[in-house]
Amino acid sequence: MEIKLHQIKEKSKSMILIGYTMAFALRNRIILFVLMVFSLILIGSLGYLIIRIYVEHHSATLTDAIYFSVATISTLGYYPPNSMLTSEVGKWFHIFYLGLGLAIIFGGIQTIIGPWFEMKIKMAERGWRVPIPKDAHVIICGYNEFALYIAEKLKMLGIPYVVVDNHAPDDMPHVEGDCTEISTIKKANVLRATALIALMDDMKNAMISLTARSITEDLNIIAIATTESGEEIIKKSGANTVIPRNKIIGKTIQYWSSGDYKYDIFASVERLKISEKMVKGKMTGKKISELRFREKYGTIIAIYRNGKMITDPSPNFTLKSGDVIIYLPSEVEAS
Amino acid sequence: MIICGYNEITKKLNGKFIDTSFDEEKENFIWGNPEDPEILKRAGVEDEEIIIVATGDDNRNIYITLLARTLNPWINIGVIIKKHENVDKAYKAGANNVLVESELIGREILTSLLSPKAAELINSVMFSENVNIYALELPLRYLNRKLKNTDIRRRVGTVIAIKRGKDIIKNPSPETVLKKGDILIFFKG
Repeated sequence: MEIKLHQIKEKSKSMILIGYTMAFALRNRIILFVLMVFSLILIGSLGYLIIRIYVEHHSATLTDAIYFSVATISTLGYYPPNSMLTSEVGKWFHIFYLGLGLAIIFGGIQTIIGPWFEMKIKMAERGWRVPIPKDAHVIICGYNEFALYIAEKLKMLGIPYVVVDNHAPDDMPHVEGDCTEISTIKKANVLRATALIALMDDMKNAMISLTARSITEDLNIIAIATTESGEEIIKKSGANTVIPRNKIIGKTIQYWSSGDYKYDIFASVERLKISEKMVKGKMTGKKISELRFREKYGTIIAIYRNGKMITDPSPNFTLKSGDVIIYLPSEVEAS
Repeated sequence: MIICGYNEITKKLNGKFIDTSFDEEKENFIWGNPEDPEILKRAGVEDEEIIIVATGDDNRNIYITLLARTLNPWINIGVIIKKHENVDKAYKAGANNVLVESELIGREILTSLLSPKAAELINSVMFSENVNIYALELPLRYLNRKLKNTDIRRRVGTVIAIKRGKDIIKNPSPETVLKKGDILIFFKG
């Protein structure tokens, strides 16, 4: 599995490399072409001046010389009266110069336009795909309103994500297919992901949980459930957290309609901000009052110890390593 | 309370249901389409205080909101919406509160992803009977005193919010001065 993942990595790396070298070569070619045209004009002007002054013993200006070069290599073919080279050497120089000009201009255009078209076609083939994150990312199974909301928030938080669905838009990192297939979630680099969010129907979410759990033990699987039986089955299929979607919405509307404060404080969209902090290092063995937690972070409302919730702990409460403090962040910290 | 739509979301609510999904009409179950003004009237829309619109279809919900608002300008309308783009339309149609499914559930998923223990706590507040919120009208002797200069913390607990008039002050700072009519809100497990 590791080898396969490595291969995928190498493949995508080489794809990027191809695009890069192509773009690089094209840029170089353009620079080379411009330089060649410049030196072509320089050679023509110099030749013109030398022949005109030293062979034909005429007077000549720099403008005449540059005009001669440009009119020749562009095959314009019109020269102001009395500015043509009339000597034998001059005519031979003119012929040679026209040939050189044609070779460089037409040859140059061809070598530039060619790869440019090639690149355009290759880019269109690959479809300017957003790359799939490879490490510490979140896999979102199913593209719907929930996925849109979550993707937007994850983007804001700077957490990489990939959507697995056949209908995800191209500007979103995505993998085509279904999360119930091992090959598909492997394409989403499931072995290196931190979490998987299943947003499909109960049956599929149960299948997704089973599939993902069968290949990795560490993955944090979060799934939504629409029915109560589905909630239980998805949990048994290996999901770490099951979000009972209809129950939550039902409770929210119930608390709102009955004027319960639970709505304003814990359920509404503008609900209380609640954060958590794990006790470790220096905090271990200290009393809450010694930490000045209120000033530094916010108001403590509960502490989780060994899976048990202790609400509203007293200031004399002594913290142990591994305790999780649930608190309301103070405004100072937020701003 | 009138509830339009009998489904997984609404089935545990207490009120008069309007839907066509049940076979026979019984107490608190009215058979019919809530888009029909006659049905809404029969459910008592003109006298009720609250109506919940949750048929599962955004267009239907918005239409019913419009209808209910026309039939009773004072009724409290709560609507459940699926698509975010329909939120404004629902408010314009006269809803008092619009709950967006993707917002509520998406936020729940993100909380359990980013701070799982906080999510657990919110969960137990939402679903458990033994975790509760207590509201207490401000005892007069604390009037005009700063929160930190009272013994409320020691005697009752941490004030997590204060309801003042229509507003709710969340996580009040210790400097907050208590006013007449304030309702202190506590959290107790």
